[in-house]
Amino acid sequence: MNSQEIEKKVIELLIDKLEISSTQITIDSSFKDLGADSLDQVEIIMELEEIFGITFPDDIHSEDLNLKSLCRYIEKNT
Amino acid sequence: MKIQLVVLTALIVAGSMFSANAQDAGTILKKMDDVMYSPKDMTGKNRIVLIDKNGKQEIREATIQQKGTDKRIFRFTAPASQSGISVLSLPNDVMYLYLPAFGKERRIATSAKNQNFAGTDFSYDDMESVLFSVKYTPKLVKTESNVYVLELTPIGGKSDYSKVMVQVNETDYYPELMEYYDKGNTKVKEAKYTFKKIGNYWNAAEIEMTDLKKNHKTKMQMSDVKYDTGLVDDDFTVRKLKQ
Repeated sequence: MNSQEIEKKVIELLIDKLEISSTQITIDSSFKDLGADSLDQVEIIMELEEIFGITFPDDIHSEDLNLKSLCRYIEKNT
Repeated sequence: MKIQLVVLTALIVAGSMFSANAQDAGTILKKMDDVMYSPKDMTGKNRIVLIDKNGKQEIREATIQQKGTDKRIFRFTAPASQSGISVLSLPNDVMYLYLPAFGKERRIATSAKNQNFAGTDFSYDDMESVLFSVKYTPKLVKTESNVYVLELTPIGGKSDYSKVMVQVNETDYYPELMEYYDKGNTKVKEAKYTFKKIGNYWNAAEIEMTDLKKNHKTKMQMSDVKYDTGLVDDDFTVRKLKQ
């Protein structure tokens, strides 16, 4: 899966989980910017683990984590 | 010579006063820990009321189990969308979050413990079961209208707070008010405690935590509290978290 496909999938998940529109998301948006609370963050991380078949480190879910870093990590580890 | 002797005496007296003061603060905090963690174990129900800046309320319910000073399970029972979501707090800074929708647990990293837990105004850090005397160095600031005022400084630099100001009841040593300050020394949160005696133990019947930046409140109200029912260490495992 290339970086654009990864980004598309992550954005789709964020839209679905956080009930936001695509216009609210940029590549630099952090969990905090998108209004994701700590539970949302863990749910998103766990869902991404299932989708991409990877394991994120425990400290990945930080409210400052942005879409760019998230996609980069997935790309490196798939 | 006389002047030197006077200065030396003054220094010794000041030093002994300082050390007595420091010891008193430690004793007070230790007594507060004893009040908060004296039962061998505790179970109870928790009604969580979230109140936003417009006064709109949301209710959640949970159960709590605690053993000793450092093992706790907090499990949501309502609303249905959150039922089964649980947090296990274990010794040595170990904390797990279990999400039933995924059927698996996730370790909460120390770096994420400053985040609010599940939309409440309590952080994971606030929710963990650790003695205050282990987490903080106390200083007695003053004694006023039946409370000791302690300034607690986090040990180890892991906390997001620069200090916590605590008002400890002078007679029964339970906390009445805690004020949390960020690294910029701005008060960011405060917790008001209402303690009631159940049998031999003081119970935090209500904790009202206010996030002063968001103007958002969380009230945690305890009921059906039972002490010393014989909980064992096996009740506080990741396996139990999933049940």
